[in-house]
Parts: sequence; C-alpha cells; structure tokens
Amino acid sequence: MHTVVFYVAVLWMTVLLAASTLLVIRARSILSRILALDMLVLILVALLALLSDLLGVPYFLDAGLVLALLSFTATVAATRYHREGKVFS
Amino acid sequence: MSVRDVLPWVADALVVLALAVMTIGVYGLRRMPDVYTQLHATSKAVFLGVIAILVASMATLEPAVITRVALITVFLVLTTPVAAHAIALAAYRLREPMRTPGAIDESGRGLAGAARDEERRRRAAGVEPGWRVVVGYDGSEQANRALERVAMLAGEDAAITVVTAGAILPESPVAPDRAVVEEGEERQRVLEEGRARLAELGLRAEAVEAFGDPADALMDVAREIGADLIVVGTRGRTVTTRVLLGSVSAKIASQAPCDVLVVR
Repeated sequence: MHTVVFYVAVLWMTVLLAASTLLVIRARSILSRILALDMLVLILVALLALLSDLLGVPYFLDAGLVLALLSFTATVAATRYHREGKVFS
Repeated sequence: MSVRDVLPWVADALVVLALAVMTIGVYGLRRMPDVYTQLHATSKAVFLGVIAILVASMATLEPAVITRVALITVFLVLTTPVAAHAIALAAYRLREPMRTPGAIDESGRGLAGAARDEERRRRAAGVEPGWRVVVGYDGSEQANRALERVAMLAGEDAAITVVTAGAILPESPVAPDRAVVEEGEERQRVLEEGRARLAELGLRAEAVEAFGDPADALMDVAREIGADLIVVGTRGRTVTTRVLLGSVSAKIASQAPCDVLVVR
C-alpha cells in the first residue's frame, strides 16, 4: 500500500469514527444505540488493521481481534437483556 | 511486473473501496428510518468495508500478519450476522415499528403499515383488542382484584389466559407447610373460579395449570403464547406467599419478557 493512501485512509477512518460516536450518542432507540456501538467497534478494528500495516507491527491486530470478540459478546448480551430482562436464562 | 509490484496497487484499490463503502454505511445508519433497515447499513456495508481493509493489510505477505488477519476475518464473518440477528429479534420483542413505506410485518404484531398506524391510534391507556394477557390467579383477594382490573382494561377480543401455579417449595424453617396451592383438584377448582369470575365480568378466558415456581411458571406461559401483558396481584393467599411479601410480582416485574401490571 502506498503511503499517501495510508494517511488518507487513517484520516478518513478517524472522521468516520467521530461520526459513529455521534451516532451512538444521538441514537433514537436503545437498539439503534447497540447497533451503532457494534458499528463503532467494527470501524475501530479496521483502523487498527490500517495502523498495524502502516507501522509495520502485527500486534495491533491482536487488539482488533479482542475488540471484535468483546463487541460481539456485548451486543448479544445487551439484546438478550432487553428482550428477556436478564442475560442468562 | 511481478506479483509483488502489483500488490500495493491492489491494496490501494481495496482501501479506497472500503472507505467509500464504510462512508455509505455510516451515512446509512444516520439516515435509515428504523432499526431493521439500519441493520443493513452496519452488517452489510460497514462490515464489507472492514473485511476489505483487513484483506488489504495482508498485502505485506508477512506470516504473522496473515494469520492474525485470517483469524479476525473468520471471526467477523461468523459473528456479524449473529449479532445482527440478535438485534432484529430484540427489535421484534420490543415492538420496534417498521417505518419504511413498503414494509410487511408477517409476525402479526402490528409493526408495519396500516396495522401499525391503527395500533398507534388505539394506544389509549389499557389493553387493546387482540392483545394477549396472562393473569396469575390463586384465589386470593389480590388475585380477584387483578381479574377485575383485567376486565376493566381488556378490549373485546383480548386473549386472556388465567394461570394458577402450584409452587413446590422445599421445606424451609420459615414455612413448614409445602405447596402454595395444594392438591391438583384444589388447583383446578381455583382455576375454574378464576375463569368463572372473568366470565361474570364479561370476558372469555383460557385456564392453564402450571407447576413449579409461580413467577417462572407465569413467565414461561407468557413466553410460550407470546403474551403482551402479565397481570399479577402483589401478594398471595397462603402463609408462605404472604411471608415472601410479593416476591412473585417483584420477580416478574423485573424479568418478564413483556409488559407487567401489578395490581394492588
């Protein structure tokens, strides 16, 4: 990947990150908020992948993997809570 | 011109594509009118963008990077649809309306189109016709008042289910006597009493006998029939339930899968 594209991408991803943070805050309903949070973490994972490539270190991807795991678990737990009133049946 | 020369350009193209698609996704989340359509924006558009960037970062061909990226990609591919489905399911349960003009709701919950508008119009305080109500009944004064409340609020074609639960309590120092509602016959009698009372008040109801912990039994029945409302009194009839001080209604109020009405 060429350096120019890198920097443009990182910059644009940061803008998207800010936009989705706004969406999390201004979500209309609780489920929209959960969804926006999931999307936020997805964008973050992509950003980490880019940075990992830019700086030439592989361990940012580990952080990305952990974030993806946490986001999935959080989404499922939050939706279960709102559906049933408790997380474990 | 070898593969190594081409790779950076391929990665570039993937990144540009990813940026475009993710921007559309984020904008989509902002502009889509309801949860169901917002799901498309995140679990398809943004997701695709993320995968594209991950693949692009494999262009360096380092084994450390490739294994990690493959891991993340597999995980995301497997879990993003599951998360989206979880959200959609919760949206159905929480009765999130479908706000797109052509939406069709096949679940009969009135979430889309004409049914939705009509339901919104009829949202006066009370139970609308077509709602499914579960009432916990044990013959006590509280329970009778709960029945009267249901009769006051229910529309003509509300589907009411009366549930009597026989609690099987272990022997405890507090309450040496065992069941809350005693033998099977007694339970049947109580159920019939409940049904008769509702009939007196002008409503048809179905009677269900349930076993085990009253709160869990009521919630199981509610979940099974897809109830929209559970009605309970605050306290029960026998020594044990009085001592437990309305723990049934408290438990139901906090854990029910639907609205709960606690009648004093």
